[in-house]
Amino acid sequence: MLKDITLGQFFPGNSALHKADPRMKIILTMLYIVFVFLAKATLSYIFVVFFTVVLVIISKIKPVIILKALKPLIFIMIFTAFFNIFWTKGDSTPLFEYKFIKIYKEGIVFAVLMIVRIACILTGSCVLLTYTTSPIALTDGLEQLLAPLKKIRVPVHEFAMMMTIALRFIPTLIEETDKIMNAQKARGADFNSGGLIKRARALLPVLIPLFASSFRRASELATAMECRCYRGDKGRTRMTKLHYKPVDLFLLILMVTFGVIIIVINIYLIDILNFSV
Amino acid sequence: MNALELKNITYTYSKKTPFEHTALKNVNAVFKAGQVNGLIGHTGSGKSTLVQMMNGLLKPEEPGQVLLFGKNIWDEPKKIRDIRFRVGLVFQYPEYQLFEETCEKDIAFGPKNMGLSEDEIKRRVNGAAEFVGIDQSLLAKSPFELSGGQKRRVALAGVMAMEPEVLILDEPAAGLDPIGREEVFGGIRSYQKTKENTVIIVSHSMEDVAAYCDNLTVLKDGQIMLTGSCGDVFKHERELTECGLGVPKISTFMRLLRENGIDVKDGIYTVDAALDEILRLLKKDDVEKKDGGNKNA
Repeated sequence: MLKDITLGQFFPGNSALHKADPRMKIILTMLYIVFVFLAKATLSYIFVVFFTVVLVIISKIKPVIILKALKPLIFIMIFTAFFNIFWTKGDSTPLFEYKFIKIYKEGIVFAVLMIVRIACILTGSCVLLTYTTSPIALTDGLEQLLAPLKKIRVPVHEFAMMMTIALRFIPTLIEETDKIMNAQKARGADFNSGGLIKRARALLPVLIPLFASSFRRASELATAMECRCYRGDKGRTRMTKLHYKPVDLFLLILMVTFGVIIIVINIYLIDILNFSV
Repeated sequence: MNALELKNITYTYSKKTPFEHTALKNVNAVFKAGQVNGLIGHTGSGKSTLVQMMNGLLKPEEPGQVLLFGKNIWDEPKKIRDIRFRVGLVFQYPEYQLFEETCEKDIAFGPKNMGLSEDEIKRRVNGAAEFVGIDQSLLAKSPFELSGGQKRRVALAGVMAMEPEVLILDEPAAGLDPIGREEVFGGIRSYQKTKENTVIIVSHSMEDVAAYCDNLTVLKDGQIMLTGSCGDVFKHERELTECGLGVPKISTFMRLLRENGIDVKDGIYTVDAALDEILRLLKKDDVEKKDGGNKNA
């Protein structure tokens, strides 16, 4: 059923990562991605995996959920690995040679490292941000991080509000789609047979009512917001103010340590486990 | 004869996730052919889940069975679409499913999916429009131009046009004004009288089911709590009130009269019947008074 799709991907909980400030989590995610890309040596990749596992443990998110998130990306990973195996040229003699196809040891190592990198970035940003931050907190954090841009007249608040509303209505729209599909199925609509064009046509009885109700909802929401005197960003105060807490400092120190170790490995320990490219 | 028979129906939403929720627990129920059957229950009691079982939108967990005139609808899963033509289901707020350019085309959507001939479709559209009192002039209009009550009736006609053997309506009058309600129920009644088909009305308005249904099934927390004729069911005033449903006000009124020593009959649940009963008593009183007066003289 459509309802079973976990959109927004937020899993409520009370781990350190859940409690951390969304602004800090956005910064941490960006730092994390930069550090992962800095990793060069095989040893640093091992450390990246280790650190990512630590993050997953801190977040208390079940590993099954993370594996599920990685599943749809298997194709991209295999695709990337495939190209790296065939396109990387090494110094040593090829391990395998057939006409113009040459496979080097470096190619295989690089392909494996690429898969590790993609998997780690995905897992890391999921547990740091999307899995542990409610969509509302996320937009809130984003708005405040980008607040300086207001000085050059970027409508940051308006964008954040639009995002909040869009996220808020995703589950509602899914439910609505489910309902309308069922109603049309009850009148004999058939969504699962026929060619592409027939199937696309079969969706019309769902899409038109869906659009109609979205417009109705939008105008109702606009009226409701006006009734409560919403007038945009100017002079607007917040009910929940974001404050940095000790846990944020702890996470920041952890992340910086991670970055430092990666850089140290890159500079001094690059020759250990030397498969690097 | 039973139009629909539900046997051991259990259903759980979002199975094996943290959001798991059992909507129906081992439900057994029958809905009689040619009658208006009422299905009542408080919000979240599983009414809407149960009606989606009846036309095969949801499949009961093993070993649950849904029998339509004695035949399990899941015997041939590939032909489940045909079941949906035989068991017409009108969802809550059906006006939100209208999509065609004209009302006529929208009503014709179901019959067209059945693969009927043009002439037959035309006949059915006109027939259905007549049942619900939608004028010929409205048929050429866009459904988005109509009033709320009119839209609702067009949506009803869209299911009636399939001429289902069992017509199920989920809260058909929700959110309508008294005139709108009367029009909707009038349409359902004229459909049922003409076709003599089975109708199932889902509602939590006791007044509505008391006025229109021949028998009632009460659902509570995904289980059948009571079943029987309206009179029988409304005798359980205390239980019904406890589960947040209550009984028609007139039923309570008659009970209070009886408790205060006025000898009204048991099992009255419509205003009309109550009026007749009270008039009968008043007449009897008059006769007795007259008799008494004569004796004294």
